[in-house]
Amino acid sequence: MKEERLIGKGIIKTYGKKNVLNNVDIELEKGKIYGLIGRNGAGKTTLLSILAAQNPATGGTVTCNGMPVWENREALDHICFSREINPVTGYGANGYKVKDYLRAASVYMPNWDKELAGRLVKEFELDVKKRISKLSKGMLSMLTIIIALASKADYTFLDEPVAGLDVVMREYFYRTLLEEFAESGRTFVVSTHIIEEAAEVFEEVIIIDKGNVILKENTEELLERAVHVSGMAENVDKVTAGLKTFHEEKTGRSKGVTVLLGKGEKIPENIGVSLQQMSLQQVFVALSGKREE
Amino acid sequence: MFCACKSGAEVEEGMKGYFRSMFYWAYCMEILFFSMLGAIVLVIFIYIFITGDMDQVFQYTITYIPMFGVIYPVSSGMNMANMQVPLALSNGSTRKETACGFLVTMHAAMLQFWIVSAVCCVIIPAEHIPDDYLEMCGLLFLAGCGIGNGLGAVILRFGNKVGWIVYMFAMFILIGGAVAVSLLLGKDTVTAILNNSPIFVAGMVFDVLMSVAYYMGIKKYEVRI
Repeated sequence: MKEERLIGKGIIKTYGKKNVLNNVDIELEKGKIYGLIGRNGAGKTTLLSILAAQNPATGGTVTCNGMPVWENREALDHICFSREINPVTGYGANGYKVKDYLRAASVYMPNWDKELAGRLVKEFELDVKKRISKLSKGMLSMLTIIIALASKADYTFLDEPVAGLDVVMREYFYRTLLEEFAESGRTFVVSTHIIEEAAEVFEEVIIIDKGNVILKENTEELLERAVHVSGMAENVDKVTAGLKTFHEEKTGRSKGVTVLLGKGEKIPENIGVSLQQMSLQQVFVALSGKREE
Repeated sequence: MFCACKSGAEVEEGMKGYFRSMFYWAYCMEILFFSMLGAIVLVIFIYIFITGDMDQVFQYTITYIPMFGVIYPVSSGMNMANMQVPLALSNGSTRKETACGFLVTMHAAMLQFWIVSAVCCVIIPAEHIPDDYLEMCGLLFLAGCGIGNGLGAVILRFGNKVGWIVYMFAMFILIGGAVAVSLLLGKDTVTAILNNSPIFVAGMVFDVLMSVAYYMGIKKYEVRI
């Protein structure tokens, strides 16, 4: 029986002398919603494009349900990468219409759900005759969402699908994503910068920083073990001795650090420090935020 | 004895992608082909309606058909490299499927233009048709195909700006060279040279080489935002 996973091992991607991905190992199980978060230029889109075999890796392998994905029709029929659509091409303004993109997707994707696509077009109030170059950023996002959801691919990647969407549409997207997930059990990987809103949707979060996957964990478990410790510097140091700390902030004699507790680790209480549970966004900033020299 | 051959089901699965690709590329190419053909027919009918001068109509027709038959593959090769190839790859088409879909349908469209020129030879009175018209058209279409594939390969590899620079340079060399050669050798000598079968073979070789270059361009293409 074939193992139902998408596995990337030792993925390396270089452009000239620049390392974009450094020996990335990643395993995506069937039937989960993953959040892929990282700073601009961290390598999110590059990773997704390699997993979807849209771009070749410099090194490493990617397999889907045990089959290599590169130039493999059988494997690629299970994967959809709905990337950001560009209103400008090398030829100038993108003269294609919304319906041209939907038609192309319907031809190439073997499980295309025409009814779902039609329903989403209506819900998003998207004019299918409008040219891509005339669409707003939000409308472009709507189109990528429609293609991703209607593809019915087992592994569906969405690259910043909510960029440009207003809050009402973002809520609608998350609701529709969860409904589709509940109905089909597909695997979704959603990359986003709007972390807090999406945190409730992500079963697992993958944090990528400078071409390395620095964390891949169940969201709930991560948030349970992420604690912000603040207080007088000597107390904070005492309490966090031997623990994994990140993102130190000093203000005079006060100090604050983020701690990711390991299994069985605990921070003693009543030692003159303040303990706060962290949000996913705070954890992300702590792990990959700008470090002061 | 263990056989490493693919099963029938695996082959069928693999071929599905090619059929899908061919279907979509044929759809895109045929829209363009019939748009161009429609434009030619419309211009001809308007001219007939206005002037009624059939001699001029015949002259324009036998000129426009090969002209569009060169413009079509050159613009297709460049346009598809900028628009359709990225779209196909971003929808999960493999590189082989994309290359196969484009190259087969592009050459099929060329064959269509050649068939149209053959139909013209039948419909239009013989006195209006130059000698070896079909062979000349075939050569022009092959050259157009080769140029279009070559320019498309440049765009895929180096981007649109470089593609347009090479295009302008190539047009300058081709048109300038054609005019210079005609002036130096005379029209009759040039026609005799072009009617030689080695030139036709050279045209086919050029087209094949450029098609390979196009495939290599697709193979190494990186889909980006």
